[in-house]
Amino acid sequence: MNKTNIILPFLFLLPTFFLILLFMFYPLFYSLVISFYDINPSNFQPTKFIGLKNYIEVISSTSFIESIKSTFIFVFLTVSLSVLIGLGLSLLLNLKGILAKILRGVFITPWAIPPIVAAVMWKLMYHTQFGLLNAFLNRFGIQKISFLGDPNIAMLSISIADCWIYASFCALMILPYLQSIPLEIEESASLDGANSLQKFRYIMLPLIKPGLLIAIIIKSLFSFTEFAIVYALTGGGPAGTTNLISYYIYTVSFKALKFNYAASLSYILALISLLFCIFYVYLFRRVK
Amino acid sequence: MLKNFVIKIVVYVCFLIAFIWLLLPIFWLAIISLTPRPEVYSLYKNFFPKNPTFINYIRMFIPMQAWLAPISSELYISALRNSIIASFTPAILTLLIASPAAYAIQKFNIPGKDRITLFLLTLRALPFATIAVPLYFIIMMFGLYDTLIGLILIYTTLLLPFAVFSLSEAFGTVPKDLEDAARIDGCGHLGVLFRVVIPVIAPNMLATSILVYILSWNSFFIPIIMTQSTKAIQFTVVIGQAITETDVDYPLVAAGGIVCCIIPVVLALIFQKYLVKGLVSGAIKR
Repeated sequence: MNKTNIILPFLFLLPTFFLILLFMFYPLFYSLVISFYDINPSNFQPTKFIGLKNYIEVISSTSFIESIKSTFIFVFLTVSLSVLIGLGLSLLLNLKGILAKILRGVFITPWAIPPIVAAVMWKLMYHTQFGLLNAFLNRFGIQKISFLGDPNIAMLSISIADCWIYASFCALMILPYLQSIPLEIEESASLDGANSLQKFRYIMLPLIKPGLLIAIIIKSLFSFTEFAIVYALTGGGPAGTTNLISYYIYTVSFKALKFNYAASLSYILALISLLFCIFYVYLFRRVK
Repeated sequence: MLKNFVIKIVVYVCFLIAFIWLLLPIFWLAIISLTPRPEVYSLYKNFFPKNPTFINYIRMFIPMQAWLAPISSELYISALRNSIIASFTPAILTLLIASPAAYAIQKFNIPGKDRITLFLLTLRALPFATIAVPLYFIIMMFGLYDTLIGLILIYTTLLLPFAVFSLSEAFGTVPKDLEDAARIDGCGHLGVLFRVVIPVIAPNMLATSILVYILSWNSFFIPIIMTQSTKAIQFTVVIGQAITETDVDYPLVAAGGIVCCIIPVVLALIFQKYLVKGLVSGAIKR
């Protein structure tokens, strides 16, 4: 190998790695360091080494435990709902005919809409005075439901809004696997007398499983760090039932200004997300 | 016969539900954006305003007194300008930075190639929110808080792993014969790159660039903590703040929402075919 063959690729990779080190690894490293310190909130310089105190404070705080609990409920609800709806959508998209063609034209729209606008949309759907859902209920003489104000249903309401954004995305992950199922397999199964349910269970499901897994893992990652939905729809309420972890971090750092506490919190968040990512990479490589 | 008929009906009903599910919230947003503010609370009677109007769009950008609600049109105008700058620049910048890196990974025999790919693949899926607070410290220290340059650098960096990965897959699809032919004709590395390889993968580059544009435009958590004034505030943030005020001007927020949707949705619909490919091959973050 001559000299240019080493220098040129190095130069090509340099800007990418420089930026990634500066704006991804340095921040992560810096917040790891200050998570062991008391910091001066005006310039974020560490002042006093306090060891694991921040972490202990995080883990022993009830609002953190509450927040983790609601985050996991949210992840479970949104992942299962949006993958199911996404699967249904992808089955429709995979059909022939004019309706499927039109659907293919518009189904990507929710993904392209900024999440904060989608959240605004659902706030207008759920509104107690003029929201479309309550307007319908009103037509049928049913009493108004406070979709976002009732602690029992607020979590479900924000989960549905979240699914609206991501179901199309999940469909997108599943669709290529659905399209790769050869027609002959389906036909021969029909000849063998398999009904639609059996065909789905024994032929489709195994073949689209990689797509489902990728959708599940990526959607988990999104749900785990969801912010805009909570910010616009509930602001963590009612009674803290929808105080998801990223919103909790936001309020702790930018409303309560407890930055060292937030640093250890976001470090925990980053580590869990990285685990998700590694699992995703493992899946992705195996699928390929 | 009867069974086929029933299946057909079920499929039609499913399509109907799918269309309602996808489009109803968008229609409702559009209807509210056309409603005069005083009428919004009587919308539930007819599902449509008595006097539909474009005034909500106009008062966003032209200073005027409307229904005694003064709005800072300067805020909306500068937010729109900032959003365009802070998403267009990363769309170009990621291409300029990611293309050479992707080319190096795919076409040179560099040591640790597999490990680099694995590394980028892992970072690619990392959501923005994960790293937002740590990034905030650094941005403050560099004096880049509330600047467009800060936002541009963040978006570019956070989307680089995705862009490098998608582009290196694209470079992999260029036939080796084509490059060899160009090399025999006397092209150097750079000649091959610019005259042969780039024209072939131009559609992939466009798709990557558009995805970067949409994701930068749509992001919310990063700009809400990194900006505060008309110098750098983003359109998504203005909408987020408007919907969480105590006395929300719903028709105005709805009009803002529609304006905020237009660019990403139009881009997504026009380039749908390329984007779907890009999304599937390089599963994407937010």
